[in-house]
Amino acid sequence: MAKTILFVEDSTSVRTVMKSTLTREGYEVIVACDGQDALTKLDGTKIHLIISDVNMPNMDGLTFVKTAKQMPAYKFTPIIMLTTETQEAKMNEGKAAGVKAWIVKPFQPAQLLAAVSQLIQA
Amino acid sequence: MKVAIKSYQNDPWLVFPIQVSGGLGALGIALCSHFTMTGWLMAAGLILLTIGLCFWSYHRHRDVLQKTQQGLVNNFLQQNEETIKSLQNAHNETLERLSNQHVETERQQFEALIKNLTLRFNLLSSRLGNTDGYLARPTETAPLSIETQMTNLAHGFDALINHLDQQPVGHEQQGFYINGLDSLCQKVLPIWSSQVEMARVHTEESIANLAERFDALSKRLDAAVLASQNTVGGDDPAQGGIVELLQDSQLELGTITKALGASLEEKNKMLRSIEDLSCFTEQLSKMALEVSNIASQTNLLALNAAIQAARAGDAGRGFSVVADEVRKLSRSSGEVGNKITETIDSVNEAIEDTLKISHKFARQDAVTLANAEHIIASVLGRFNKAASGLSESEELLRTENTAINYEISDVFVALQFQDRVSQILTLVSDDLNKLEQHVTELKDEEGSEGFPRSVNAEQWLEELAQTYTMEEQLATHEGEKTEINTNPTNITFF
Repeated sequence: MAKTILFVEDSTSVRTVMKSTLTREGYEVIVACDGQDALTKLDGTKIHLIISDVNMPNMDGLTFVKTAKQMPAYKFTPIIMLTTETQEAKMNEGKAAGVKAWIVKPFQPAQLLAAVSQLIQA
Repeated sequence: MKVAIKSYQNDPWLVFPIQVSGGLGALGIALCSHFTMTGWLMAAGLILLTIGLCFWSYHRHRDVLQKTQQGLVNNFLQQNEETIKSLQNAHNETLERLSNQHVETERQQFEALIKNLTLRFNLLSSRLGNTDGYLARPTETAPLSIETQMTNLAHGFDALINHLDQQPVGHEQQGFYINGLDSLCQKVLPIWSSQVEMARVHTEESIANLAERFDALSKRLDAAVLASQNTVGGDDPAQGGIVELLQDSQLELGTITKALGASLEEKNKMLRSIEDLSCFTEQLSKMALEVSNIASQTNLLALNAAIQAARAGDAGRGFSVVADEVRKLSRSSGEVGNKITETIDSVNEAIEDTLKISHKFARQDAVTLANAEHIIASVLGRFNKAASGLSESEELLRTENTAINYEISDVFVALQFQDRVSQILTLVSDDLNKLEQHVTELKDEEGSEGFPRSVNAEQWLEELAQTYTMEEQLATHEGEKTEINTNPTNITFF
């Protein structure tokens, strides 16, 4: 059975390409355009991994992650942050929120796939 | 200091000793003539006297010259000192005069500058709303000294500084500087913001479109490579590839040619059997001939028996009937034997015809089989060559696909600049909107309260800096010239 990934990203280009890349690798991908949209996708569906941008309209990635981590169904879901944010404080905030990996854009799709594979198998 | 004394030809002191020695020589000659003295002794005495006189004359001459020279030098020194003193006095007088003129000029300029500065200070002070900072203006009747004006200016500056200290730090009353700037900001900032937002949205849509196209390109390429793999390699077990098809075809065609060969061999066996059959017909012919011979001999025997029966008379009548019957039988047997021979001849002809035709067909079959094997080998060879070419093309396609996928991956990395640019433009747009809102609020407050408000630029910049997400933004904010990092970064695992 294919593993399900929730991909939260406000950039249409990144969202399009990464959805295609992950689907090609055999993952089932649910996309959301911001944190608020992503919360509506967390309706009890089994999610094996969450990949989220940090700076997004309506609700930023870190707020979304903190909210998701409070939901019992997604308390232990591994999370990867995919962002242009390089500030140490933000990274520490993410780490404290339970983020497992922090990828700074620009990134190679292969890098993300490697991290996804590592965290989903873990 | 002694100075070397030079002698001159016309110096009288040089000839004086010669004259004296000459006179004395003459005197000596006169005396020698009256006294008994040798001439050599007299000459020696005269020489010594001459040397002594020369020595005395030289020293005397030098002393006199030194005294004369000293007197002249002293005179010259005194004259020089007097001249220098007079020149110095003149120079000092000139300098004092010029200095006074310069000081006066400087003073006038300085007064003008102070006056100008005072006017500007008063203007600045009035614009800043500091009424305490007004400076006293000099009047015709009681002009103020420079020191007083400077002191007033210093006090004025102190008052102005105190006034500014009472204002919030970093505030600037920009409304005083450029008339209409706030209105311009109110009108132009939304336009700038809209333009930036439009550029951002346009870039985002274009890049998204580009990303979709690259994604579709990558998918189609993968599909083409997969189809090629299936066609050539037969990765799909249900369908099989062209290589497998060729191998199967080769096996099946080989089976067919083998079956044809076996059939030909069977046909040859059959021909040999037919040939063997002809041997049997020969035996049958011989047997038919023997039957004819037996019938002939039986006929001859029946004829003899009939003769003997006739000789026997009535007693042999019955035997004569038997003899007739035997003769009939032998005739019938001879006819049958002839018929058998005829039939066997017909059969032999038929067999020979059959053998001729069969041999002809067998040769044709052998040629056909050889041709078929050659054609099949040739066709399979061509198919193998084509399949090999297809395999190479498929391998090339696969390699190119891998390379293109890498390229597309790199293109995707490059396309991510849109996300970064979008964030930068969003921040700029937000800040423009914030400034426009702030200017509007300030203008409203100015209108209601009657005095201008200020903008805290430092605080504004600090707030702006806090909104940055990338190091490059912060570096640019601080005036550094930065290059955008386009290399993929590593992953940080927590």
